[in-house]
Amino acid sequence: MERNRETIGGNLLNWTATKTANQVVPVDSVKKKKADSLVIVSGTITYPFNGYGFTETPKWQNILIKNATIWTNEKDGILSNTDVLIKNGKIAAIGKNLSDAAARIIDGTGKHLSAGIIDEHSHIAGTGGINECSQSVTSEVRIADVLDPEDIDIYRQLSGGVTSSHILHGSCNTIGGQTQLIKLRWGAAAEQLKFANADGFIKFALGENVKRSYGQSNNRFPDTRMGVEQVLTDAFTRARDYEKMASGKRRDLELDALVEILNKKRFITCHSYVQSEITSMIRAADKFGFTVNTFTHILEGYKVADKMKVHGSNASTFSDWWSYKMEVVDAIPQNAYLMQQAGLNVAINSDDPEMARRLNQEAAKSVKYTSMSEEDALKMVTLNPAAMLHVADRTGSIKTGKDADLVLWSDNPLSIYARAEKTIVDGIVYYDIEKDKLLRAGIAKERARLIQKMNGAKKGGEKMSPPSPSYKERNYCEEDHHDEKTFWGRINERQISLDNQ
Amino acid sequence: MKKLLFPIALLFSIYTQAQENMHPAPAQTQAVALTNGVIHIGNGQVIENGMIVFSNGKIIEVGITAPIADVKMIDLKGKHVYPGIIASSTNLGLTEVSAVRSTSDYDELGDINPSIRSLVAYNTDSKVINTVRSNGVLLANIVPQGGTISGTSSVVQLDAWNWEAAAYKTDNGIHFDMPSLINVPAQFRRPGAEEDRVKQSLEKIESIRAFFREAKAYHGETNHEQVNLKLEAVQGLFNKTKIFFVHCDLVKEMMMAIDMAKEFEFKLVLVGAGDSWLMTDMLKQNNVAVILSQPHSLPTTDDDDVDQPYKTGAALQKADILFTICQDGGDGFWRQRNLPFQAGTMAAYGLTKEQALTSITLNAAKILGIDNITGSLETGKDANIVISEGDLLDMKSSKVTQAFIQGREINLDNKQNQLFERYKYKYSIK
Repeated sequence: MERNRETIGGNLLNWTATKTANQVVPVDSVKKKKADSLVIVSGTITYPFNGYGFTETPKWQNILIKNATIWTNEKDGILSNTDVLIKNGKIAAIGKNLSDAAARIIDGTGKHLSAGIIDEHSHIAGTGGINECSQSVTSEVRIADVLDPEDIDIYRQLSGGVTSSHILHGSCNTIGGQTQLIKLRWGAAAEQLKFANADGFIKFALGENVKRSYGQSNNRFPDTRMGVEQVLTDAFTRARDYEKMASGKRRDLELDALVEILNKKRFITCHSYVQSEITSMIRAADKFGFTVNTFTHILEGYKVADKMKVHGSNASTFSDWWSYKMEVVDAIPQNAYLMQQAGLNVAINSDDPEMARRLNQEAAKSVKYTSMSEEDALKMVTLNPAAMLHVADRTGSIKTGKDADLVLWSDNPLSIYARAEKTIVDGIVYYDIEKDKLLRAGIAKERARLIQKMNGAKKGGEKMSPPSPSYKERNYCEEDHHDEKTFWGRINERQISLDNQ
Repeated sequence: MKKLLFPIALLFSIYTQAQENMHPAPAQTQAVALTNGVIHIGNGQVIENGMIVFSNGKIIEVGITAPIADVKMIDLKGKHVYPGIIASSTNLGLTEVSAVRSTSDYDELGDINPSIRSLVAYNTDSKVINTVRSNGVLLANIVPQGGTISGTSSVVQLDAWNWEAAAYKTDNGIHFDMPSLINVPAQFRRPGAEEDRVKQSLEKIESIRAFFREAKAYHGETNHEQVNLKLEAVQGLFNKTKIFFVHCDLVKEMMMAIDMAKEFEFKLVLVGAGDSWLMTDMLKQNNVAVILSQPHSLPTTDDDDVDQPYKTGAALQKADILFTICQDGGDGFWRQRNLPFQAGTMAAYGLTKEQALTSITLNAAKILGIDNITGSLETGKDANIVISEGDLLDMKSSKVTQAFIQGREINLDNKQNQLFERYKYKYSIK
């Protein structure tokens, strides 16, 4: 073996080594003895390695769903007693009396089939902190680097019909970081969760969280909405100057991401609430020649929906949250409807791992509070978020050729009584209400095995320790989780609200 | 002709008033008969195409179909009639904007504060109240949340000029926030928090027991040298005129609550009780009622059934445990308007729709000690009534069109509807 160009103290050095014999590893008699006495009894390996993991990665198969009510989200509207054929992970055919000898048949009689739910604003599946608060502009950081494919909330959301989630940074600074759109492929590795060939997005935020209004002593610029506007102006001014610099410049990852925005290669989803800041953001974008792709949360969007329409933005909002902080005192449950009537593409988002499991019912609140049609309401959690995330050519509706991201519901999907029975991503059934029963039985069996093992260890004189729950951080970017007196607040000392970091 | 003009005039008056100009309804002067509705009594019974008559604020007839003289008839044409929903544990009216400290009055300093009374801080003019009652919630138990013994709650009705007029059941119980009996791994502890939290909690619980022992001795005295306000405040627990509400979730904590209630012979209601499904036998044996945290919660542990919080209500129902649900916590004020849908979720996961309705009406009234006057549409009870075009428990169909508190028809408008009208005007939306 020869090596050169190794350096010692900056000097090049050549060296040579020649193999003379195989290394002899001395046998460790003590260790060997111990190994002999060790009986390895392992549970089943699952993907991911937790209670709801699968013993083998689910594979796609041809599926024929027969005789269901199909919410197409297309001009066909809602089709009754219709079949949908899934082949190779795609929707292959929609019609009456379809057949495919090779397909698994699912009886959809009395059930409803919709496109999978897409959550435009989510913080699940991140390992720990996803809020880089150190400075006001952190456009270089990426959710893609911290995905956690083992987060149980992925499975829980599949049980609520979610097939894609847009994972965002928190809202503690004006320019937060690069987002990641994922498909909820439970059991796959982090890299495989990513939605392939999707446009890059970036999280921006305005208002109280950015101003860190809840801390006692903010000393990071900005502290007002006036300052927020200047942070934006300054960041894009620097990005434009940086772009103009001659080649050979030192690469600046922060400004690279902003230049992508200027060149319409990266798109903004901007956490925002009140009409003044929405207008300021639009004017800043106008000045630098880009469009704010999405205003997210946007509870006062209804006040300036006309301006947002002219600018060309989408809107992603909560169904009915309000009054939890000063900037949401004028929030109304008719916001989504008013923005829709003003011509905007509107979605309902969760920002909440619990509510994300019920986004279909959150959308239904627009039917309650306004005259929005049921079909339009369901689009707010399927096709509309797909369009604002630039993936409506592949998902968000039941159309031949699109990805088979589908949910089979027990009832009208807008009803409080609807349960997701099967959630299908890329033609693979990742959540099946029947298979879930088996998983639960498996958990009970595994628990019994572990308890028996612990009892055995106790009898054998092993050291015991008191029980401790498996804690995890749960992320929100909204302030509406004053849980100190609720269940989670009581058992979790540290409920993570991204506002306050 | 007069009859036709009346509703038009009413509508006009609603949309020309800001919420500040809306006023509580005056006392009922004329008897009212609601006809042709689907009457959900609240005790599980349903009367299709029934009639309900109320006069002077009280229900006088239910279920008959013959018209009655000298009564204002309201034809409901198949709409649904329900008892007013009861929010069993909430800080409604004690906070306006939860992130703005100056608007919040639910979290007092100090550790043992039984004499703190929520009623005196209840703000009848909160903008949030109107958004809650317009979804059918007409009564609420207003609960303080500070310290370990947080104070005394009262039940209010949601259409009043001031807190004295709102009071429905004054000082109905004392709230004890059970210290947590589970330890926390180091990285999840608050800075400076005790490493062995269980030990610390047990010491705290022992100090609360000592407080109650002292109170018992105090109330055994015929006269006192000095009046002790804290000890005075808990007298009602010993003679069972007040309920002992214990806020906790884990099995060990609930067992501790049962043990304390036994020692002092208190009337116990558990609030939260997330893991109550694990100990239904013990709850039944000890006749403990439960105000369950919101079904719209995540499961306790990763291995729990993914729908456990949705179906915990059904587990309690099956075990014949008296239970209702609440939306507790600091944001439990505006979220009360979703209480009917929380009940709807329980109906999707094991309860019948009528059982789900009973949980948030008659059961809640029983637990709060007001079932003699409300909680169901039965003769002699207050006319606390909600009318909806469709199923009240399903957001897809819930459209509350009218509501009565003590027979008074309340104004269902609110600040949010008014903003909606304002911007419909801006965008020329009909």
